[in-house]
Amino acid sequence: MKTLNIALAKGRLAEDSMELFKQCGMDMSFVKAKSRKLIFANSDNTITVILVKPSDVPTYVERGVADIGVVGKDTLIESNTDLYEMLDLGFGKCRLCVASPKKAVANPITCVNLRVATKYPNTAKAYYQAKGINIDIIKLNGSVELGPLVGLSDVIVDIVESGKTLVENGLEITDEICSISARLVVNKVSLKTKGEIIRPIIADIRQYQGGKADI
Amino acid sequence: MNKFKNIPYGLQDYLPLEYSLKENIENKILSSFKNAGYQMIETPILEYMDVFSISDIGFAAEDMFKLSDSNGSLLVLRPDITMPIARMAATKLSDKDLLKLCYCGNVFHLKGEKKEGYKQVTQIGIELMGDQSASADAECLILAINSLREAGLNDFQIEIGQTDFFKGLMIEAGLNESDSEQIRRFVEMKDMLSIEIMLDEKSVDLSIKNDILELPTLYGGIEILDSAKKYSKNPLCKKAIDNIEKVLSILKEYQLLEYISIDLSIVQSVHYYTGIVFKGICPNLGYPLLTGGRYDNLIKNYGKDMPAVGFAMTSKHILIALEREGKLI
Repeated sequence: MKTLNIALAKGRLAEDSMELFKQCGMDMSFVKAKSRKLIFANSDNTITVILVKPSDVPTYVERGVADIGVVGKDTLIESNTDLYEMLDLGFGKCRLCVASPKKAVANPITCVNLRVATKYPNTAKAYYQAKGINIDIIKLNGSVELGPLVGLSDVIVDIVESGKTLVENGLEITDEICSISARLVVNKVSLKTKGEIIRPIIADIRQYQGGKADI
Repeated sequence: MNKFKNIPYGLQDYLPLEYSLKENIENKILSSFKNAGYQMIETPILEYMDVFSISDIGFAAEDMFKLSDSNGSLLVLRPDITMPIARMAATKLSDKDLLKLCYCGNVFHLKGEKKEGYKQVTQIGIELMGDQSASADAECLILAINSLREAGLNDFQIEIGQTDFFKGLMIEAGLNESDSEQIRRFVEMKDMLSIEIMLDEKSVDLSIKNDILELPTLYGGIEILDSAKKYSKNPLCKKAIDNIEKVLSILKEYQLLEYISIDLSIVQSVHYYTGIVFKGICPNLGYPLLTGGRYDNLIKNYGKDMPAVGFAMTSKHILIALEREGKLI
C-alpha cells in the first residue's frame, strides 16, 4: 500500500486545508494541529501529514518527500520551484501590493535606487525589473510596514488582507502586483507514480468547489 | 579548525564505497551501450562559451562557470555534453552520415543542478545522429529502458511526449512565440487557471481554447493517444501522434510497453528538443532520473544539418533511487 505524504503550512492555512479535505471525505482526525508533533500518520499508514513553515512547503513537495501540499500563491511565486500547481483552493485570499507613505518623503540625494522593504525579495526584484526601475532590496522577516516609517525604505512590497495595518501606519497601496490564494501543489513524479491516489482527491475537491459555487 | 575541511559548496568527494558503486553502475550502463554498437567518445571539459550560447536554444550565461583562456577568450565548464558532441559531429566527423556515440563525463552547473543542487554530476548517455526515423526514436527508448534495468532498477516508467503536439496547438491558436513560451511554462506547471486567463486575454477561439485547457490532463497509459487523436485536425498534432504510435509499435515487438506511459503535456524546458521527448521516473525519486529526446535543429548550428536523438542520465540520481529501493548494496 502506498502512503500519501501531505505537507501543510502551519497555522490558518493548515486548518482550512484540513477542513477542505474533511469536506471531501478524507478522515483527517489523526492530525492534532495543536500538539507539538510535526508528523502525523493515520492508523493504516495510508496518509502522513507533515506540518512545516509556510515558505518550506514548496521545498518539501519539489524534493518529493511530500507528494502534495497546500501553500499560498505568494510563497509559490517567491520560491520559484518546479512543481505542478493544480488547484486554486479559494481560501487564504489576499493581495500582493506595493505600498508607500501617504505623505511623500523627499528622496535622499545619495539614494538613487528605490529602496524596497519586503519579505519577498525575488518577487519584488522581478516586478521592478519588468518595469525597468532600479531598486535596492531590504529583506525583512516581519512588520515590513515599519520600513518607510523609520526611513529604512521608500516603499514596501507585502501581502495585504484587509489593509488595516497599512492605514494605521499611514501607508497606502500604490500598486497591486497580483491576487493571492491557497494552491494545491503536486510533486511532478508523484502525480504519475501515485496518480491513483492523487487524481481522485483533485477530482473530489473540484467537485466540492463546483457544488459550492452553485449554491 | 583545519581550513582544508571545507570544499566548495555544491560539490562532493566520492569515498571508496560510493565511488565503487558509482563506477560499477556506470560501467554496466556503458557496456550495454557498447554492446548495442555505440562508440565511446570524450570532449574537453572546457569549451568556448559560444558552443553553449546559441540563440534561443543555448544555456544562459549566468548558469555556467566561466574562465578565460590565455588569449582572453571566454571559456566555460560544460553544462551539457550533447552540445559539444554536436559540435564534434559537425566538424570532426562530418564525413559520416550515421553516428552512434556514447559518453560518460562530468557536467557543471554554476547555480547547482536543479533538484539536489549538485554543481558537478556525472552524465552517461548516447547520441544517435543522422537518422530521422521513428525507429531511431525507438532504438533510443529501448536502450534507455535496458540501461536502467542493467543498473538494477525495475520499478520505473519512461514517459513519452512530443513537442510538435504543443507547437501544433499554438499555431492553431495563432499565438506568437513569446505568448506560446508563456503558455508552455503554465502547461509545465499544469496551472490551468493561468492558462485560461491568458487564452481569454488573447481571445483565442473557444474550441482551440478547450483543446489547450485539456492538454495538462493528457497523461496516463497508451489509451491517452486515442483521446488526443481528436486534435488531429491540425497536421503538426497528427504528425506528433503518428510518430508516437510508430515508436510504440516497435516497443511492443520488444515487449517493453509495460515501461511506457504517455504525457503529451511534457514540454521539455531544454530548448533544443524538436520531436519526441521522454523522461524516466521512479516512485522513490521526486525528479526524473533520465531525460532525452530528438533535436533535429541543433547540429546545423555547428555547420552540418543532421537530425539526431539521444538521452542522458545522471549516475548520482540512479544511486539515490537504488538506495531508496534498498537495492544499492
